[in-house]
Amino acid sequence: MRSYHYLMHYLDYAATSPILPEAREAMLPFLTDAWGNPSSIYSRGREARKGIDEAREKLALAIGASPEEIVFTGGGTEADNLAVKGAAWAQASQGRRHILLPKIEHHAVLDSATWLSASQGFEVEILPVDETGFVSPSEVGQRLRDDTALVCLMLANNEIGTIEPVAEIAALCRDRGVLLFTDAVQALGKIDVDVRGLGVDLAAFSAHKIGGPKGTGALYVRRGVKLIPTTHGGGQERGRRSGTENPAGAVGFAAAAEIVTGELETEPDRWRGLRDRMWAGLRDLIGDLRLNGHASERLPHNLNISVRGVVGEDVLLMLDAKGICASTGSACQSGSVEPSYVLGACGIPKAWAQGALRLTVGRGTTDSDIDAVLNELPPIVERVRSFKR
Amino acid sequence: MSGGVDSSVAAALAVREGHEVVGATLKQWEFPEEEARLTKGCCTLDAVADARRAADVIGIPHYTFDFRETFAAQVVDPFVDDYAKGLTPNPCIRCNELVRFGALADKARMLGFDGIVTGHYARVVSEADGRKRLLRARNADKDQSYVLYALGQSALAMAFFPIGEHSSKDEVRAIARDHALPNADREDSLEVCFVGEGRRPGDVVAEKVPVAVRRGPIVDDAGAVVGEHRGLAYYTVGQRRGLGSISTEPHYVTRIDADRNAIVVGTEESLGRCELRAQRPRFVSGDRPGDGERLDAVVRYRGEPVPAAFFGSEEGFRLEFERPARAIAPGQAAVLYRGDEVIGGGTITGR
Repeated sequence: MRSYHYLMHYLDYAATSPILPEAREAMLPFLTDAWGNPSSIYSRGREARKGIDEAREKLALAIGASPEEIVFTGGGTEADNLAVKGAAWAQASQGRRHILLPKIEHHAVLDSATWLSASQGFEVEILPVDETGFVSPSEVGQRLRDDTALVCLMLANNEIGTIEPVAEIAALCRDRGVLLFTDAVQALGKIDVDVRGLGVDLAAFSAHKIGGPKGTGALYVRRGVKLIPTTHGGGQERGRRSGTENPAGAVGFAAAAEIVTGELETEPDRWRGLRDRMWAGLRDLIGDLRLNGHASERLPHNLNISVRGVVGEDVLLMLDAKGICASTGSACQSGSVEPSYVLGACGIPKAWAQGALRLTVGRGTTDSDIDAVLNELPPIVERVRSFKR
Repeated sequence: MSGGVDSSVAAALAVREGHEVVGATLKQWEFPEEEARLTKGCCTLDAVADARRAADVIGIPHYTFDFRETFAAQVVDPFVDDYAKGLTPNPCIRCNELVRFGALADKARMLGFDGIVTGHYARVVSEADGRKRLLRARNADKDQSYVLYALGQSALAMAFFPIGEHSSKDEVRAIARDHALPNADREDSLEVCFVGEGRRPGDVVAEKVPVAVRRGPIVDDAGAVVGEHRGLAYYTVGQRRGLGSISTEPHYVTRIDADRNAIVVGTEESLGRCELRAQRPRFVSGDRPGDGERLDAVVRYRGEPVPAAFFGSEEGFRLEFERPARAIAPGQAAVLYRGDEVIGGGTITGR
């Protein structure tokens, strides 16, 4: 049964992705010769500054923003924290202390908001979601108040892939003078992300989800939106994120963003094909299976299923032994896997939620990876089920 | 893998013997305070990190399994209930039987593993006919066979205790250094894992069931009140310290009377008992000894063996001691040995 061969089938692109060769090539000069501090006045510093500036322009182009609206951060979580806390604090000075968000937000958003409510005097109100994780615009409209500071609504969910009606809700917010922040970490490179078209005020991004390096992210801050910084120091990034910039990270991020947004015409359709074949095959081969998330309004690379009568973790371990990398959803700090809070928030009963499996495809996925899943997963499920009393 | 040296060395030895090994750390418990969660003790982030680093050095995959629900139901809740009833349980016995060689063994079998390697100080030997015998460790000072008596044949068939073959802790540490394990010099833990450093079992009971831990009288054999106790869960039969100055003569807890929330004290002589009864019997071979058979009984963890005659009973068994056995605490196990071999055991009852 067990054999740790490392012919690997990677089906966890929503967790992270391999660094694109183009991103690595773009980064290399900044890890070797161009090591200057972008804030230095001399030539060595200027070449690093040039790297950051070009990266900012490229990333802005990829998401439909202006370069000065991009704040590079140390990752998606930092971008989320800066957006939620920074915007909330800025709004509080105008008497707005009410925050709206659904429970399916990433923990970086959810826990930032919880902290604001627990210790910073904000009131957090939870937006309901339906069984697919969908937030209804009318539910948001009913809850907007004169003192609402911020609505947080992810563009697409990291676990179940549901794409939220962000543009519609952003319009409602704009009419009421309320800021809308969208965590677009999972959406970038999978669907078209045009911050202007969406009409959002803030949007968070992460490099490593799209083939860039880990430890780099960005926050889009629409011109005119006030933000109180969470990190104080040298005043880099227009005072919004102090600390010496990471030129290699920014350059790698921008290179990856350019590639993945340039492939939006072709790659997502290919992923959808692979994903749908995987789902159709599994549905034929495994009984008592359900699709989590929305059937159509979902990221093209995301499959999230629940297998009744199993604990997802057991299946993952056995897939791992077969060289297949997948996930159940969210992993806790010490590495143990707990039932998904996202599925819980969608009202999925525990008997189903504990059997959740997330399989996400990407740029490197081929038919052989799907074949591996279709060959290995059904007998594993059968075995796990046979061991349950 | 607890993060300690014994389980890490056990893993390394299993790999050395050619087995395909995966490291597993059971997250069994979460200490209430943020601080304890992040620092010393079992199941903390540090302990998990130490186990993971040891697994990395050994070159095996490492997983952390969330066993909090199972551990609470099978170990912590009964532990608290027993203390509330004035008993002195040994939670490691249930943990080994129902968690390590229960739920974990089930999971391991499902995942396709044949065995469970632990850092226990005990030995398993196979007879020609395939039957397993459970023996004391070669290192008598560290022997843990007492807490393993409840393992039956199917559990022992999966058990692999490489540490039990080593005659000293120094030997174990030397192997750890040979393998360059980062935790080679880590201190041994002696406390019950979920009680925590500097805390007592009574503290856990007080947290879980505050009403079960309330002050009451300390009485002597004649029933006269001689002092006040701070809650039954802080006392165990045979205990001498912590009774306050109740008289010049040394006094010992001789009985815990849960019905009256009282601690009964007496002289050292009154601690002796000529017999005990045990329930929830477990016999390693599956067969109980014959009536009248003479065995050695150990009535508390790390206790001295006392010769006794065995008699089966409806609830379990009864032991008649050749000479009075001291400080028999209801809730502890009476474990039966024939020389170095564990025959079985049971939970000592109140009467």
